[in-house]
Amino acid sequence: MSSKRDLVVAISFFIFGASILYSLANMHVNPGVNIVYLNHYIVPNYVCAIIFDWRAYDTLGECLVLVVAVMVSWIVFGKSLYDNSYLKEVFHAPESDDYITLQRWGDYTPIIKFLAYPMSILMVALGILTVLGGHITPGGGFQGGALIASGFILSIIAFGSKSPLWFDHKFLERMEALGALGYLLLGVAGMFIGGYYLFNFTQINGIPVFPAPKDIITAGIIPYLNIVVGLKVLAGLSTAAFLLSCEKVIIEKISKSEEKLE
Amino acid sequence: MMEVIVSYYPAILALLFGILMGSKFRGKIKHLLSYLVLALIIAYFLKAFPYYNLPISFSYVSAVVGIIIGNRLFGKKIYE
Repeated sequence: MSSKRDLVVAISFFIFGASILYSLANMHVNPGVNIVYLNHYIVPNYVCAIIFDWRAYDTLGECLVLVVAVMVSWIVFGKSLYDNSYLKEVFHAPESDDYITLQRWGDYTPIIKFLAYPMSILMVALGILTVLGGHITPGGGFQGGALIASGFILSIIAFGSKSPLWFDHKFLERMEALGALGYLLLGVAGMFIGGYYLFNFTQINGIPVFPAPKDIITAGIIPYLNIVVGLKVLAGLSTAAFLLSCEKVIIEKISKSEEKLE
Repeated sequence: MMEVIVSYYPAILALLFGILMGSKFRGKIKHLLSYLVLALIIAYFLKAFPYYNLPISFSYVSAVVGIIIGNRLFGKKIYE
C-alpha cells in the first residue's frame, strides 16, 4: 500500500516539477505587461486581468504556505491527540485538570446559539458566492474559502462538539487533496493546450470552458481555479480550527490512558 | 437554451457547491421558508454579478437552496 502511495507521490512530484521547469524555461516577461495583455489578449477589464490570470503562480505559493501552516498546527496540536502530557507541562496545569474540554465552552449563551446557526448557513452561502464571483468581482477562492471556514468556526464556537456544521476529518482531508490536485491538474491542462503551465484557455473544440456573457467569456479556467482554491482554503483553515478545538478528544485520551495505568 | 445556461451557470455551480456544504450540516435545518425569504432579501441587496443582466443574485439563492437540499438528502444526525 505504502509503495503504491510512494509511487503516486513520486509521479505527481515529477509532473509538477517538470511542468514548472518547462514553463520557467519558456518564460519571458514584457515591460508594461498589463498594457500588452489588454491590447493583444482580449480581457474585458483591469479587474479580470489583474485578479487571477497573472496571479495564478502567486496563489499556488499561497496555497503551499497554507499547507505548511496546517501541517505545523497539526504537528503542534494534532500530536496531542496521541500524547498530551506535554500540553499540561506547557500550561503548568495540574494532572487532574480538565479545564480545556470542548463541552464547557460548547455551552454558550442562548443569544449566540440563536444567531450562530442561521448565520453559519448564510455565511457559507456568501462564501460560495464569493468563490464563484472571483473572476469578475473583488474576492475569489481564498476569501470565499475563508468565509466558509469562518462559518464553521462560528458554529464550533457557539455549539462546541454539538456543532450543526461539522467538517469531519476525512472530509477535510479529501477537500484539501482535491483542491491542491485540482489546481495542479488545471495548470497541467493549460500546459497541454497553450504550452504554458496554468495557461488560461477559454474553449475546447469550440465549447466554452466557462459559459458566460460575451463580455467575460475570457474568464476561461479562472472560476474553476477559484473553486479549487476555495476548497483548499476552506479545508486548510477548518483543519487548523478543528485541531485547535479538539481538546475533547485529548481529554478522552487522557482518561483512557489513566484507566489503563490504573 | 444556451442563453439560459450562460445566465445561470454560476447559479448551477453554486447549487452543487451548496449541496456539498449542506451535506455537512448535522440535523435537519428547520424554518425553510424563513431562510428562503432571508436569502431573497440578501440576494436583492447583493445584486447579480457584473455583466449578468439579472434582477437579483440567483447564485446566492441557489447556494442557500443547495445547502438545504444537501442537508435534507445527505445530512447526518448529531451523535453526541
